Amino acid sequence: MKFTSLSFLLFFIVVYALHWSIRGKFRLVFLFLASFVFYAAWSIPFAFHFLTLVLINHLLNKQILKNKNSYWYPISLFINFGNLFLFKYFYFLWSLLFQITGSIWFSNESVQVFVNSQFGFDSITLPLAISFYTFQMVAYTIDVKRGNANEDPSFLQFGLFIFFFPQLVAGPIVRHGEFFYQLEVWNAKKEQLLEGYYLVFLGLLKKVVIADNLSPIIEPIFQNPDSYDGVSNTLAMFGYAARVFCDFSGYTDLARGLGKLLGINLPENFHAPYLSASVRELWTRWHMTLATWIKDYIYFPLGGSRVSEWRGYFNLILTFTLAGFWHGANFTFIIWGFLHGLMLSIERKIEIIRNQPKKETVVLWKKWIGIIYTFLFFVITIPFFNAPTVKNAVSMLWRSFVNAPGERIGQLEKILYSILLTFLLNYLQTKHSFPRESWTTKFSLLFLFLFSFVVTVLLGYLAPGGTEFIYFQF
Amino acid sequence: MKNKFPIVLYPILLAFSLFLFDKLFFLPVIVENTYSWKKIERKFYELKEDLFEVMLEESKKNPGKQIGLILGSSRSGEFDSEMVEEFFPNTNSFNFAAPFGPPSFQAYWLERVLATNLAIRYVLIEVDPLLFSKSAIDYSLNGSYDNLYVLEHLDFFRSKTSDPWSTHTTGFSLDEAEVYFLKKLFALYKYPLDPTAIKANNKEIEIGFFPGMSSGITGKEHKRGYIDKIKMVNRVKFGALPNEIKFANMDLFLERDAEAMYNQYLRGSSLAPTQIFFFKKMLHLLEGKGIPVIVYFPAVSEPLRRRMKTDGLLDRFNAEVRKEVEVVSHSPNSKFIVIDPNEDINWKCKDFVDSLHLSGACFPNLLPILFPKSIR
Repeated sequence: MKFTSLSFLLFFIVVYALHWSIRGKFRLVFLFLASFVFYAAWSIPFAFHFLTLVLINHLLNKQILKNKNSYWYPISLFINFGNLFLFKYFYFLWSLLFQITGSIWFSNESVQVFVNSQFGFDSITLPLAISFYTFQMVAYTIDVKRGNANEDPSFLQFGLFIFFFPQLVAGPIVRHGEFFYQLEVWNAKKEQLLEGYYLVFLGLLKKVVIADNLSPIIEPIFQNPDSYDGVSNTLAMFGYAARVFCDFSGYTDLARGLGKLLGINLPENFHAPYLSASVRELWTRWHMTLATWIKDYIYFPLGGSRVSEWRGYFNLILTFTLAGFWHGANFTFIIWGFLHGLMLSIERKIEIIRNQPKKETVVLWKKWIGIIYTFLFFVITIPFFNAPTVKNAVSMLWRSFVNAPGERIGQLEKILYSILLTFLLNYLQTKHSFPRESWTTKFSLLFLFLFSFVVTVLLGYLAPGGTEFIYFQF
Repeated sequence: MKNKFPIVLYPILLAFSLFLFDKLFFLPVIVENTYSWKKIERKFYELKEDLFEVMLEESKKNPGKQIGLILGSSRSGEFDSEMVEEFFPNTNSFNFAAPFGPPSFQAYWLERVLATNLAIRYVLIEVDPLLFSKSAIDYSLNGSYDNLYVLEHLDFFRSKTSDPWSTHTTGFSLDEAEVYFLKKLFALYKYPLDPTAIKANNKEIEIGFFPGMSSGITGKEHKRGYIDKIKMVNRVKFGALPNEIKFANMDLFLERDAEAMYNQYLRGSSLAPTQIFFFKKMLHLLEGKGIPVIVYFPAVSEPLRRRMKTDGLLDRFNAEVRKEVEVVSHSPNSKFIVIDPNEDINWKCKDFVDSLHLSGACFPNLLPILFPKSIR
């Protein structure tokens, strides 16, 4: 069930109406069941597989809470990462082994025959949201072990924490401290509901009007860069920067908006990332819930920056390479993560060499140069994020660099407009959300009506037919 | 005590107001301003309802005359009752063909006509890979079915297989049904507010080859007149549009047009399981009824045919169609025939207006091939 579909609209209207009609514990039960149905609409067998995992995690967390040194802790991590590995990274490892050994055992055909003979399927399907729910459950388990999570939730509370449908499919990755307290006093608040309504339409605007319209223009270039000229390849990278922001930030707005409409605040995932003046700043503004996750559960346990200088660089590069690998079982993502880790290390090295104290205010021209440098670095790494193979990614960069001849894509103006709109949307993220607190209810309602009408007009006029959210694949 | 408005109703109130406001854009007076006058295709679909009424009236007036049913795309849209009466005497042929009319639309009208229990003399069904492409359904999703029909044929859990011919389906995919109901529910989705269309609809249209030569009527007035013409054609020609284009286009144009058609509809995409389902459904609806059924592959230009043969698409398509027809032909009291004028030695006149449409001048040559003696 896509957030941008009619079936989801009908589903949500029913859920919203019933949710606020039910009181007390039943609201929790209802929302948990609704979230389960939402996942089951994608696949019933996988919904039960997911439910079983949540149940196992809940039981193990109870044991770990009782005894922090319990052997259930490594077992819990093994189950969660084992599940993630089996469904997401199995084929990657197997093809790697095939390339190294050349053994028929590791060929795709052997796997297919085995899976088919044992389970009756042609291949292992990647369950929806597996990367997100794994990270959320693992984070909670680690926090319980560390003594940072003492809520001791009931199964329904824990189940809803993981299953909550607005954030289930592609985040934001919610932490226990951001969620459980909201279940204690679960009342409708006017400001929250109105902001939720606004965010839903803002998300639709970003996703359907901007991101979906860019997809058919730029995707063919990522698939076949050698057919296109240097300008097209360059613009495809810039276009993708606009697309991925509008797609993922649009999804997050939808998720947060839906959460607010149900009385739950979800954390923000983006805060004007394209206005960052350094790659380090970018990672405090881009996919913030993932960035804090990898910082807390990978980077800090490795020693963070409280180690020798070179070990610190190693930690950074390793952390970001793993973050890249989290996105997908492909060398392209590994390289993408590595490049970001490398650039973060270079920035740190420069800081150490300059050895200047941090200033409160930054000179404007330096800030602008920083923004341009950061955005260009982000754009240059994009081929590794979106191209299907390393060869395609390198080819895109090379053809852009030498301005290779080839076919020129049409609708270049759409890419340029989208980039401008993307920067405007980034700028808006530095301001307070709508409707403003100082506004009267009547004015807020009028604003929201007009805003939603304009978005509906644009959706009707510019909706190209719809593509899946980029982060659904992760 | 002050009576407070329940705050949880605010989002509902907003959404409902928006929903009601949207309905204004369904008003005909607004639609003729917002929806481009150049986009006439939907009207051909919508006015089949009018043709259906004409058919019922006509059969009441002339109960002795049987009914012929023509289903297909614009390529069949030109076959009129008078032309076909030569082959099927004492028959009124009603033309339910529509631009890019896919099997789902054909099956819908076939089912409705069969439900009237009128005596049917023959059914002509046009099939080719283009009509089975995924986008062939687009026009018809603008409200050309009954809601109940879509719901009854909704395929909730369609299995994903690489071969559309072996995909198990029960009708429309969830995405197709969604588009259909979105267009039923939201006027701004069905008739988007297009500023250029609003301007063009209210501007006097130009005629001829000389820029600036005005016809004296606006775009929307022209469209009104055209709609009246289709209604008239429904009554006079039973839905057929006379083919007045009688010239052959240049080979270079046909090559380019073929390339564009193939790229737009067929390149890199498989056929739609929905259309395969409805094609099979039509065959089953007509199985054992004793009605002569002509399943025909339309004549297309050689460049397009060449492209459709890429990766064996056309050959596989034709073979699968023949296989399905063969299956139902074995049922008692079934009369099916598959005709392919492209392979017929008697087809001599091959003047094409574009890669899909044969010149009207060639129809006298084509029709005897489509309606052979063996099926009459």
